[in-house]
Amino acid sequence: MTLAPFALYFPATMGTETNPEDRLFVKGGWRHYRRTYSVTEVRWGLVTGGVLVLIAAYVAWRAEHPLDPNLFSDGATLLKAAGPRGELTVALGSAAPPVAGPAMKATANAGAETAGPAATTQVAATPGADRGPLPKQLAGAGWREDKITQFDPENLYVKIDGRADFFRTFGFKRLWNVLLVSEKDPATTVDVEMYDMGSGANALGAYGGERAPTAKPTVTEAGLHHLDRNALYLARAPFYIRVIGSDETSLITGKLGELADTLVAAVKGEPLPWAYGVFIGQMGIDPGKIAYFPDNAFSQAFAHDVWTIRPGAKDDDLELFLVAKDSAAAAKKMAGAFGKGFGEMGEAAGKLAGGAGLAGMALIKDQFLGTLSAATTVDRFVIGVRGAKDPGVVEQELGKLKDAVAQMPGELKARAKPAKASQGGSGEH
Amino acid sequence: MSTEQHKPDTSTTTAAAPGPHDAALAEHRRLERRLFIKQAGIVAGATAVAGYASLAPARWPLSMKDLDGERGKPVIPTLRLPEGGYAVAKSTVLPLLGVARGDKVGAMVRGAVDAIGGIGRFIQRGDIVVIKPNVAFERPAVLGATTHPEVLAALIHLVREAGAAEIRVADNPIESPQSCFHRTGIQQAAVQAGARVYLPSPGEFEMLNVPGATWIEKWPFFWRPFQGATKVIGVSPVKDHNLCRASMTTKNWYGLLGGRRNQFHQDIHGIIADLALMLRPTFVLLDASRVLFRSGPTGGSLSDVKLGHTMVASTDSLAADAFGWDNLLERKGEKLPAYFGKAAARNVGTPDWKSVTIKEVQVG
Repeated sequence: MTLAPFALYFPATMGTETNPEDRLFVKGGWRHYRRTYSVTEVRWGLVTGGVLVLIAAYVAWRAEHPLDPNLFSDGATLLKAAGPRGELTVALGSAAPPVAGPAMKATANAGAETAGPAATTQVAATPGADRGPLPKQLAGAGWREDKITQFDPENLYVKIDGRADFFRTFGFKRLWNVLLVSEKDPATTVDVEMYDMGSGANALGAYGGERAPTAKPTVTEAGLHHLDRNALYLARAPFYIRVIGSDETSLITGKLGELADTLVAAVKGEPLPWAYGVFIGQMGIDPGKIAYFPDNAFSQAFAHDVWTIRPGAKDDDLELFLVAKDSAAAAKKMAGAFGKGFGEMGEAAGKLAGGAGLAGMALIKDQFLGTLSAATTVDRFVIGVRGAKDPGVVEQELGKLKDAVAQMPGELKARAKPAKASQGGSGEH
Repeated sequence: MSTEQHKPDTSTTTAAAPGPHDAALAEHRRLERRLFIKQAGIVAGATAVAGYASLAPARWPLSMKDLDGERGKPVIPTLRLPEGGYAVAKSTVLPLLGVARGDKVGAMVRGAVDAIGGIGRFIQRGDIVVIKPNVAFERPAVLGATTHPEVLAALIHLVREAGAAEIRVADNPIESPQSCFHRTGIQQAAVQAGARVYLPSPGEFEMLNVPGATWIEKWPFFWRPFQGATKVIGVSPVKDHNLCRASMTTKNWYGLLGGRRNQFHQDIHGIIADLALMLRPTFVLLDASRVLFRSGPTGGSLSDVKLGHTMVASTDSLAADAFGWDNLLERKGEKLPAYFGKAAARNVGTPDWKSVTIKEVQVG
């Protein structure tokens, strides 16, 4: 075996005479070298090393004494503040802050439970931060505010994954959320969720969509609200407010009543949409039976800004609808579109014989349900009916709506304007 | 000493035989020439190889041509769950669905599992068991949006009795995981019953490969609790859902996904069918102690919740969910949500629960 190939790369080591330029330490021929070193260089090296050590020491010290302590918070302190009855009994890892919990035993997986921030970002603000339209002094005696969070249409799913689209359908703009915690019992909490829906109609639409059929709303000039066991719901333009208690104890129900008063007083709202004047004022309909569809009503792409009521019993499919347009011509055009749309899902079923000023109105029979639909106009308003069992019901119920619209007070009629073009919600009402 | 003495005698030098110094010089030159030739050869070879690799058409071997930049992307390592998932051997004699009705949660959990063969059929001594509850929202358990902690605790006790070496409870709520686990009571229930709770953090997700999946063929998965796991149990509530109409045991696996998973709501039925393909559990438990029958999946009012007094266990999550649709959400006669059909088309279960063996028991 020969070492010749290696010798090629180490020619300096092959000589028999000592060369003053021979390498002393670095024998490899791939890098430059010299036999001497500079004391100045060594000094500079020591200075540089010292600076690096100082920087590292400062970083370590600053980590222990952060300028903004919340910067490194993983929420555990908030949890501790809102913790349950039990005392904190275990610290999860020497370097990690403890997580609150009652009587946790040694089985806790320290590493896992102290896992840093969530995989997704929570948009959180510390108490005292921007609280948007949330009224001050929501907590009141015996309660304290915990965290305030905000969500926009892009991240609403973080708060209510799977339900976010419901609110987006109604033109959702922003959510402010604050958690109230009982000082008497930290496990007793109330979640206040204040959804800015952009308009009163949208707020009422969301409110109607979440209201239990048996709920009886209280009507005020500026909105609706009702208590439902552990929850309080309010529609105060442009906000839909949902307040959820952790249980149904008297502590919670008492707080909900107090919050109802606070929110009604603090959130000014605006007069209920014009359609409420027709349905409640003119026809005496239960406000809980009113619904609003900013877009795509009855699965018809053209059907924007549609108000509906279900005047019958719970299982009755009968539905009346009402739309305001700018002119009688526009109303006629829309009524025609409704007739055509209904016709695509059914067949002509003759015309209304007479009475209530609706004689000659074309009826469409739904091919699946066998019920009757129809649409017509009163001045610049489109009125119609769906799900009627027979022509007599159409005549009777649509007749009531026709009369109500025809007799609308001038002030109310002046407010009855079509919504501006919708982008996931409606405009002004 | 005269200077002449120092003049070189060229005639003598030319004629003289080469001395040792000249020989060494010649040898040195020879070696230098060889060195040069070898180094030139190496450089030429390297240039040729580099030139080939960079210029050869992409289909040629060892070509590094990357016209569209795809080959230059980093290759993210992917993982796969075990072949066949975590399922135990199928039984030809035991019921596929176990339904227990009663008032006591512990008795219902045990009764439902006993009806499909008992916990000993599924868990052996030394098993590492992952239990996946639904902890999706920061809501108290009474509101029915999450797995009830009493049900989880009863299940953990049952699994411990079977001799599991370790029980891990894991979920990935989008909203603050700490708060969700705390306010639902799942954290306390799990720890007190003797399980370890795994909360998600970015470093605990790995890219999972799900062959045949439409949306999640490669997608971040909450991997850490699954490291070394031998069995997986899903325990979910029965809920109305705004988008897919019903959220039960199959939809429950959604909570193991990471990334921007909310985009899947555009095809909610497709993603749920993918989830059925992704994870074949040891068994699932449908917690119908409470049923969120309206305003799901978040709920909020107790008016949206009714007591179900029922627990369903099954090795087939589609059968369990279809049973829940008909009998617990009480939507019998209504068309099943589309994800049932999509998942069944992938042979991961049957939504036709009436065609499978079922054992119903009254307990407690």
